[in-house]
Order: sequence, then structure tokens, then C-alpha cells
Amino acid sequence: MEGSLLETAGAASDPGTPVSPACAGSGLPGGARDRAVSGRFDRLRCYTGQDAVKLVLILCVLFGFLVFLAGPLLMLFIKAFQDKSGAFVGLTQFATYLSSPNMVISLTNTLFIAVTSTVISVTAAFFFAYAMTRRAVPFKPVFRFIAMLPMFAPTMLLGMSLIYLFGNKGLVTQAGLALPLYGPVGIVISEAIYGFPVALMILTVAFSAADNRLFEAADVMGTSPLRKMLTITLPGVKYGLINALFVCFTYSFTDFGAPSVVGGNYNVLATDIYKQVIGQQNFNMGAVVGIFMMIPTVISFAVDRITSVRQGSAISSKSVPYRIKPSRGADAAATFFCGAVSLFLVAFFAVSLYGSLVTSWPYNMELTLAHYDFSTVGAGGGVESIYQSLRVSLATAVIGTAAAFLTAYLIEKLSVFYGLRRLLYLFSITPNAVPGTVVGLAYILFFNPRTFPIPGSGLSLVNGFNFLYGTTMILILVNIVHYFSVPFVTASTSLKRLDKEFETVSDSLSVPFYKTLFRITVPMSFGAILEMMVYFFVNSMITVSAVIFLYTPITKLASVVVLNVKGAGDDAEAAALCMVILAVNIAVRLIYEFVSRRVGRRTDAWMTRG
Amino acid sequence: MTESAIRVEGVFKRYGQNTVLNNIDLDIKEGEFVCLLGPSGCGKSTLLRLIAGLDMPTEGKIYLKGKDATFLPASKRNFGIMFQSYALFPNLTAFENVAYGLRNQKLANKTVNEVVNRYFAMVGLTEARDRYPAQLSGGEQQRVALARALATNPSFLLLDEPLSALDAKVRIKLRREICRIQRELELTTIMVTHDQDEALTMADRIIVMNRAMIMQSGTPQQIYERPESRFVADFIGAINFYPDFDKGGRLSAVRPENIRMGTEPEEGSLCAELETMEFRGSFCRLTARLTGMQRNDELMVDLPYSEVKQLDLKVGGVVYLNLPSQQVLHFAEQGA
Repeated sequence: MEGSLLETAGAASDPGTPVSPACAGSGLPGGARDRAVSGRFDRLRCYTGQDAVKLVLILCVLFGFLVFLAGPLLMLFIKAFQDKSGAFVGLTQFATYLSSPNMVISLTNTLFIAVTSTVISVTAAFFFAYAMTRRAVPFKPVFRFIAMLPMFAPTMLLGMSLIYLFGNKGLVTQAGLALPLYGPVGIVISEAIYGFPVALMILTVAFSAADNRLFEAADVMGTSPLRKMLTITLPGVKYGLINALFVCFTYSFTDFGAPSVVGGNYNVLATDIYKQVIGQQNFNMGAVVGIFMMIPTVISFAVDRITSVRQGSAISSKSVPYRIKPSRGADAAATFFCGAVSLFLVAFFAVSLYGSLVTSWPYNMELTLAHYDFSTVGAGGGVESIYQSLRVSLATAVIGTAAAFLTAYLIEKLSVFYGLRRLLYLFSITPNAVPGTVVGLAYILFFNPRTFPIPGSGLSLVNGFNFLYGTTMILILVNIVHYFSVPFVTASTSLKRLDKEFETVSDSLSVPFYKTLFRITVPMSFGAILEMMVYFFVNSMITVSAVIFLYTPITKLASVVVLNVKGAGDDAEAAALCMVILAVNIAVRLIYEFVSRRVGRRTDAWMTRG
Repeated sequence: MTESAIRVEGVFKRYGQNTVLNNIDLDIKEGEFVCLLGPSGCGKSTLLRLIAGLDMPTEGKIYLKGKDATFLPASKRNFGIMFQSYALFPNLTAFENVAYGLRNQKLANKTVNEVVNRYFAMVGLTEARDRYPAQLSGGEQQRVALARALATNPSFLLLDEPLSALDAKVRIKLRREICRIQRELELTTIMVTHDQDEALTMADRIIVMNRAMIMQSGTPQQIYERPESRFVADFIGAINFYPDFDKGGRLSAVRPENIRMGTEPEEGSLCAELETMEFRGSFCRLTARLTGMQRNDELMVDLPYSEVKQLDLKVGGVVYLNLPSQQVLHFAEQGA
């Protein structure tokens, strides 16, 4: 390739005289001489000092992914094919797993839970989203806010509320209606509520992307409402619906919080891993369960990739937004439905609030704030655990957002190092397919050992990252990795909306890329950055799945303390702690709304034509 | 020999199997305004990107002011660039947009002010200084983009379809402005366009491209009057093609405005029936079907409207056409 390049250049400068590549340079102007010597390095010369900075940044992010994502996952896969002594045993562990009746039961249990709760939450979310986007419903912001509540609380809270309602001493039970709460019923209800807001968000987006011209065309042709529903509305939200189904399925398939509170003896995979690892110290079997758990999440992930591509092309820039046409009956029905769902959710959260405020449920229903005195809770670490949660969540929000934004920037806005950027993209979306418990287990396997034995050599490799084990930092890191994909996609989407020529223009003006990044790109993406931070923060506050494997008595988080306290039977304290977490998250969300509205006003002025 | 401002030598650009530029040679003189004209996908934008240093050629060399710049990064080539999308920074005022490159040169505020004001005056936008791009019209935004491209005193200017997004009237006004400023500054300029009117009115020289190759290079008059291939003749302006049987069926062509039309037969004139008349304001486009002889073709004829009225032409009437031999083009290819 380079040889022919030289010949062409030589021949062009001096036609007629055959010249050897070595002396072709002397006849050429400028810096052509050294090219003759270093022809094969020509391609390298198009890289500048700035490109070196870009390369270093890419390599830093890549290093982060290798150590904090690829390494742990690789370790998990290796462990699944080894026995306890570290010998390679092939698929033996998988065979053992599948031949154990208990294990198969928990696999079918998990599938049953996931399917049932998915159907419930997606159905409810479908009608709710339809009402919010296509019907004239009053108080929409209020309904929307209430519908989002389950996202702000640990899933344990959902279980707690169920116990206050349907448990042995529950309000409904005592009123005479007994429900077999502990087991599938409790888990299904919790997971259905847990998945509802996510399904709602996905479906709201799908319903919002409607082209009013289609409905007008249908009206002109005298189409019946039913036919419009079947031929326009449903096909329009098809991909959103598929996506919502898979996301809800993954949520409830991998959730740890609710089954651990209301599961009773009903085993699911997420609690199985925990029992294998923490209960029986069988890391290898835990790894096997983890791999089984990843099968549906990987499928769901693939479906999400495919549908998101198709959804994107479903609506063009020429589309006209949907205009709601009032229809008394339908609007009233929609309002009633939204009201009922909202009332149910509010009641659901209120009962836990009430439970946290009464002296001794159900014997002494006098109100008290005693359970909010966390100094006696969780072996005295209750108060500290709240601060710890705040610290970890804040750090996750700041570092995670910076990392996700930088990664998205490097992928979207650079024009060099294509292969490395593809690799970064692959790593960035992988966490979407890895359940929290699996990440947590993988982290133990990777960070806990002081040395890694090299098979067959008798030598071992010192684990340079072992120092992180048991620290607060590892909790932050695991949260960043676990929740990386969604904020990353937020950043990518926001960056894609910016004119791709901004970088070209600053290049032509000789302005270095980082100046444009800080002066143009970051300010223009401020809304997205806030959104990313809130996502990281809220999820770090409520998560238990990954951190349950990694906390120490000193680094304990509030959500973990909830589980411990609940396990010790102090329901009221657990509920109180959940309420504090919920309150913090709602406060953060409100601050976000306030700030983003102010920022929004400013960016709107930039984005819309005056 | 005067040194050329931009020289492109034997440049190839391939993406895998796909050749986007096929052996391009190009010489642009200091202060010249060159238009790269061609249908979409002909490689004109890629060529512009190579000259800007936004992409590297697979083979060949690019020289700027005689120096090998093939692998010189864009930031070191000292050019100004304008895009169809304007690409103004939305969060900066018009003033700060123009000052963007200057601020980076660590100039004193006073100097920045002076320079920016000078270019605002040049593009005729003094009152828009403190507004954000979204508050400006498309034409105003493109003026800001022009001022920004000029403010760092570039040694050449690259325009990537800068006028395509604008309304017809604004476009024509801005065409003149760009030409005026380009001549005033004697700035070497390359503009990519698919609009032949733009190329014909603005350029000192037009380079017509098709399918990754340069088809012809010349002044607008040369390109229009003496196209060297069927593609160029067809791409620019309207033209009638026909096989010339006197010359063994070689492809010949004549522009519609060069055909003379009358209602009385003349020496060497062809008899035809008037098929359609299309009113186009100052002139009419007529189609006439030749009757008799070997040719049974339709020819387009452009006639000033006054002449159409004077001759009192009617659809279906008989007319006589005269093809002045010095206006007829002959190509090497065979006519079909």
C-alpha cells in the first residue's frame, strides 16, 4: 500500500523519468524528503498532539472498563467452570445445578414471577401511558409524579407495605381478607409495582411519538375509532411495547430486594446466588447461577438493541405532534383509571409511612417518631449508614456522570481511533445485560483474592486491585458500572443532537478540542448531565443487589441496613429507614425539576428559533 | 511559474471497495474562486474534506502554498470553513461566535473587539452582535458563520454548500456578498455546490465532477459554451442531444437558446411542428417535433417572450428551425 503511494507521488512529480522511491523525495517540494525514508509512517503523521491526548483519554476509559467490568465478568465465567479447589471441571457445575430439584424449582419460580409481574405492570402502564398522552386528563403532572414514586424507593419498601396490608397482622388481613402473601403473591405484586414506572416511561415516549397527520387522514376517510386504534395507534407503539415487556421482565427476573422481604420459602435466582455465596460460601455455584440469570437479560438486551433502532426510524422530522381531541366518555374513563392507580400507589406508600410512625403495630397504634431514631438501629450504625448512602450516591452521581459523559463524548465526537471507540461502545452498553447480583458476585471474585494462581505453572499473579476490597470506593465503582448504560445512552442521545460540524469548525479555527468540549458541548448538554446525575444518585440510594456482596460493617449503606433490620424483625425501623431514603430521593428529584426548568429556559432560548 | 495556493496531485480516496475519489489532479491559484460542481455522491465534498485535512487521502498528495500538507492536521492548515447547517455555537452570542478562534490566540480584549467589529461591518451585521444564533434568520446566521470563518485571517476559505438551506432571495443576495468579500480580500476559495446557477454566477473556475472523477475544469463560459462531454453538457443548463448523420452519427448538441425559429422557411432550415409552449416569464420554452428526413426528434427551443408574441406562435403550428453551425457542439461519442 505505502509502496504504491510513493510510486504514484514520484511519477506524478516527474513524469517520464522512472525514479526509485528512495530518491523520489529529493525532487519533491517541502517536507517530502523524509517521507521517502519513513513512508510507512505517513499515516502516523496525521496524528497530532491533541490526538495523543484523545488516545490517552480513550485508553483511560478502556482501562476502567477492563478492570471494573471485563475483568470481574471474566472471573465469573472462569469460576463457573472450576470447582472449589480451582480445578477445571467443564460443565460439571452446570450439570449439578440442573440436576438439583431445588435449583430447577427456583428457575421456574423466577420465570413465573417475571412473566406474571411483567404482564401486570405493562398492561397497567399501557393504559396509563395512553391516558397521559392521548386523552384529556386533568392533573397530569400529579399523576405522573405519583406513578414515578416506586422508582425512588428500595424494592424492600414495596414488600413492607404488603406486609402491613396483607401480612399476618396486616390491616386487610385483620379486616377479614386473608391473602397468602409470603411467596409468589407478594413477590409478584411488588415486582409489578416496581416495573410499572419504567414501563410507563418507555410507553409514554412511544405514545408521544405519533404523527397527527395519520389520524387526520384516517378521519377524512371516515375511519372508526377501533380501526384507528388497531391500524395506527397500536402499530405506532409496537416497539415501545416490546421494549417495555423485556425491560420489566429483566427488572423482576433479577430483583433481589422484594423476594428477600416477602419471598418466604419461595426461592428465586437472585436470592439463590446470595444463599450460595454468603450462606454456603460456594462461589463457583454462585457463578453458575449468575450465568443462568444472564440468559434472559442478554436476550432482553438484544431485543432492546433491535427495537431501539427501528423505533428511531418510525417518526420523521416532518411529523406533526398528536392533538388530543376531547371525548367525554373516554376522557372520564382515563381519568378514573389514572386516579385509581395513583390512589393505590399513594395508599401503598402511605401504609408504610403509617407503619413507621406507630408505636407497636398492631397492638399500640399511637403515633411516635421513635422509630426514626436510628442511633439504636443496625447495631448503632443506622445514622452513619444514611450518611454513607448519601456519600456513596453523591460520589456515584458525580464520578459516574463524568465517566459516562466522557465515554459518550469520546465515542460520538472523535473522528480518530474508530476501532477503539467501537470497543468502548460495546463495553458501555454491556452493563445493561448484567444483573446487579451478578455484578456484585463478579466483584468479589475479582477483587477479593490477593493473588490469582496461573493454572499449571504453580505461580500466581499478585492482585493489584485487592486494596479496593472492603472500601467505600468499591461500592461507588460497582454502582457506576452497574448503572452505567442508561446515563451513557442519555449522554449519547444528547450529543448526537449537536451539530457534528462544531468540532470541524473549532478545528479550522485551531481551537483545541477540550476547549470546545468545555465551552460548547458541556453547556449544551447540561440538561442531560443533570438527568444522568439524578439517575445515578437515586439508584445508588435504593440499590441492594450488587452492594449486598461488597459492604463491610464500616461501609454499610442504608438500603443494606433496611434488609438487616427487617431480618431482625424490626419492621417499623426498616420502614422508617425506607421512608428516609424515599424522602431523600424525592427531594433530589424536586431539586432536579427546579434546576432543570431554569436551565431548560436558558437552553430553550438557544435551541428554538426566536 | 507562479506557485499555486492549493495543489492536489493524483489523489485517490477509497473506503473499502468503494472509490470515492479517482486520481484527482487540481491546481488552484492564489485568490481564485473555484467551484466544485456535481451531482450528490460525486466526491466533491470528500475532496473538500481532504483539502481541509478532515480526512486523509488513500493515495496522492496535497500541497498548500507549495508545501506538502497531505498529512497536516486540519488545525494547522489555517482555513476558514462554512457549512450548510451554519454550525454556529448556539450557546454563544453572534459576537462570541466570531471571537471564538481569536480568543484562543490569547489576544487582548481590545484587539478581539476591533477584529470582530471589522468583520461584522464587512458582512453587514453590526446590530446582531449580542444576539444568540437562534434569534437570527438563516441569512443572518450564515453571515455570522462567514465572519467567524474570516476572523482568524485564514489563507483559504472552504464553503460546503453554504447557501443550500436559504430562501431563494436571501441566497442570491448572499451570493453577491460572498463574491464581493472574496474579491476584496483576494482570498483563495473553494465552494462545493450542486447548484449550477450558483457555480456559474460565483466562480472564477468551475470543476465539474462525476463518479469520483473530474469531468472538466474551466471558466463558467467555457464550461457552458464548450462542454467536453455529454455529462457536462447535460448537467449544466438545458441542451438538445441528437446524432449528426452528416458526421457519421456522432453525438451532437445544441442549447435551446441558440436555435433560431421562424414561421417562414430559410436556407438550411428544418421544418417542425410546435408541440408545447411553456411560459417562463421573460422567455418561453418551446418543444418542436421535427418532421420529415431521418430525424424525428423533439427539440427544446428558448425564445424571448416578445419574439413569441411577435411571431404569434400557436401549439400545433408549423415552424422552421435553424441550427447555427458554430453553436452546435460535437462529441467524440456516438449518438444513440
